[in-house]
Amino acid sequence: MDKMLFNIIRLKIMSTLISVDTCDFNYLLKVTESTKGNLSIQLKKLGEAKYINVKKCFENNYPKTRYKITSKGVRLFEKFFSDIQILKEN
Amino acid sequence: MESKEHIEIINQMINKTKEQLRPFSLNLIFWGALISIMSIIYFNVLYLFETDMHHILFWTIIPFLGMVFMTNYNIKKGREIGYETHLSRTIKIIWSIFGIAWLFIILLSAIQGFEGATIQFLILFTSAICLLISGILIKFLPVTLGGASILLILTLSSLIPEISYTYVNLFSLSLGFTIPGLFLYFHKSNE
Repeated sequence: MDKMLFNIIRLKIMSTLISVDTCDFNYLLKVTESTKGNLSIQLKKLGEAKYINVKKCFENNYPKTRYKITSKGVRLFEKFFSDIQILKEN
Repeated sequence: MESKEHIEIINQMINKTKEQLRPFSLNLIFWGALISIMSIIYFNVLYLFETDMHHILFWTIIPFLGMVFMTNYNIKKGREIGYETHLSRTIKIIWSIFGIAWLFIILLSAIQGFEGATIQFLILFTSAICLLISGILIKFLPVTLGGASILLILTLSSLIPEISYTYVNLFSLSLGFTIPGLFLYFHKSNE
């Protein structure tokens, strides 16, 4: 089992990113119901492990960060999901 | 945490992401209304359009300004929502290509000197194809039927050559854009 996805915030992030093409930090903050600091740390970990892509840009002179799941992230998330389903059935 | 709880979290998060089709419906209503109003104006004040350049300018500048306005609205709405689904990205790509195709048709018609009817046919035909694809993708029958109705109107207009461009535009835009757009806007799941 993938230990990276055992953290509840990281699991929430990945579950959100699997269902969208891209999303911003504020949306993730709202749906994960986490704090800014904790969310930033978990996003950084997922980014370092190449589960997600982080794209920084400027919108109306304000910095904006957009997140997108990578193909590695999709593969590992799907594997995690099938593993927990097997566990649940057993 | 148990595996059951993991699955519950995944389901909860996926269900939080809702397809946002209201901006798309507003795009359809806007274009339907704009081109219909333009057609009525064009038909009633035809004497103002003395040269071909007047016609081209009328049908280029106003839609171009509309395109700028709606692109700005779509970008703002996208920021407000905070996420983009795979489906809305696909719809965005389809209509961006339609926008490029529209510019290309206008450019070619200026170079080749296409007649008004040819330009109108090319634009309406391209929009009908985009509507058909969009309707099938979002699984919303009125949009698909809107695209099909434009194709039907184009077929009928080729059989009745004396029919006015204005009526073709008016019927095509109302049946293809405005009415499906209103249906989509008031659709229950689009809240």
